[in-house]
Amino acid sequence: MSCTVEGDLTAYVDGELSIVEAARVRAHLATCSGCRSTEALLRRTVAELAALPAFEPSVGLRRRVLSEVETLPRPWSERLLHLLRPAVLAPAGVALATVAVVAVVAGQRAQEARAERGAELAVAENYELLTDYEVVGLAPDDLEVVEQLDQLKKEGRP
Amino acid sequence: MLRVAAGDTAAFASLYDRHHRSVARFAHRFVQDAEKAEELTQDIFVKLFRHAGRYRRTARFKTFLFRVAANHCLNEVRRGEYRVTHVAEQGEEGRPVEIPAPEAHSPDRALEGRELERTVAAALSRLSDRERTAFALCRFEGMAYRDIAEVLSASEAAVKSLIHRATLSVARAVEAWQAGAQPPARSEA
Repeated sequence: MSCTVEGDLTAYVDGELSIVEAARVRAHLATCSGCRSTEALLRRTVAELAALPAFEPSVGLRRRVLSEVETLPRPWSERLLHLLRPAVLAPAGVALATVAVVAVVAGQRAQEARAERGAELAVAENYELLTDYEVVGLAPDDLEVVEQLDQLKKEGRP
Repeated sequence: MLRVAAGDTAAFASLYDRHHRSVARFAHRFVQDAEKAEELTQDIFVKLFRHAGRYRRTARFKTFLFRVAANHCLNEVRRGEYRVTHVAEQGEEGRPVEIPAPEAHSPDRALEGRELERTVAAALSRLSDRERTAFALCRFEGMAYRDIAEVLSASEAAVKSLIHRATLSVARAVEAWQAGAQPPARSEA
């Protein structure tokens, strides 16, 4: 068949053409017996196809689909929502706060201990010098003046 | 669908109940085999659950569903996971396809229905995958050309051509069966 509207006949039968296109096909059908015959065949077939029985899936398919879905890993959004439930969130918050308090207290104590150890270390390093000057009644604060005594004399300070 | 995307299995079950017949019917028309059609339907719904997050409210759900279904069927056939069962026409040798009996008022009408079904199935198995997809969506799911074009990521003009070729091919097969095979079928009843 060589008619130019032949390719539009199914769309015409399906009502898928624009008003202008449908009018063009209708006008052609009035003059072409070959296309009229094809159009009639298409209409008849479409009607027969609509009356065919539909495939009916088994009842077991539902069970198989739903059980497979149940085994799939949950989406991240659902897992996040699960974690944000009050039943999970409240104990987790309390635990987190306790850990934070313990960490702060432990940190403070460690700092104090480090400071004490520093002072003790300085005394130990200068133990000899300190015992010498303690004999003449000098306080540890005067140690620096004594150490710098020669230098101070050169500069002419009293 | 948004609840399904959030992992709500009850919402998914409801979605399945509403749409599984259409999907199974489409898959059956695609592979022409009941067992394979059920396997495909199962895969399609599992895929739908896993990729529910990709659904956008702007898309019509049926179009989205059949896009998933058509892509899955086309991919599986291309990968060689499934073969489209070639259905023998009346008089040819071949594996008979299991076809449910149509609701008919008389045995001869039922037989005629089975033979028509076999003729249509044989004609469908000779179509290209895309022609068969477009044809099944149009004739058995009642989808508009515009929606089928969206499902197949094709232009409406291409869909019009696919559907025309497929429908004409099936129509010629039915015409040939009616011209040659129908009288004996009537006499058997």
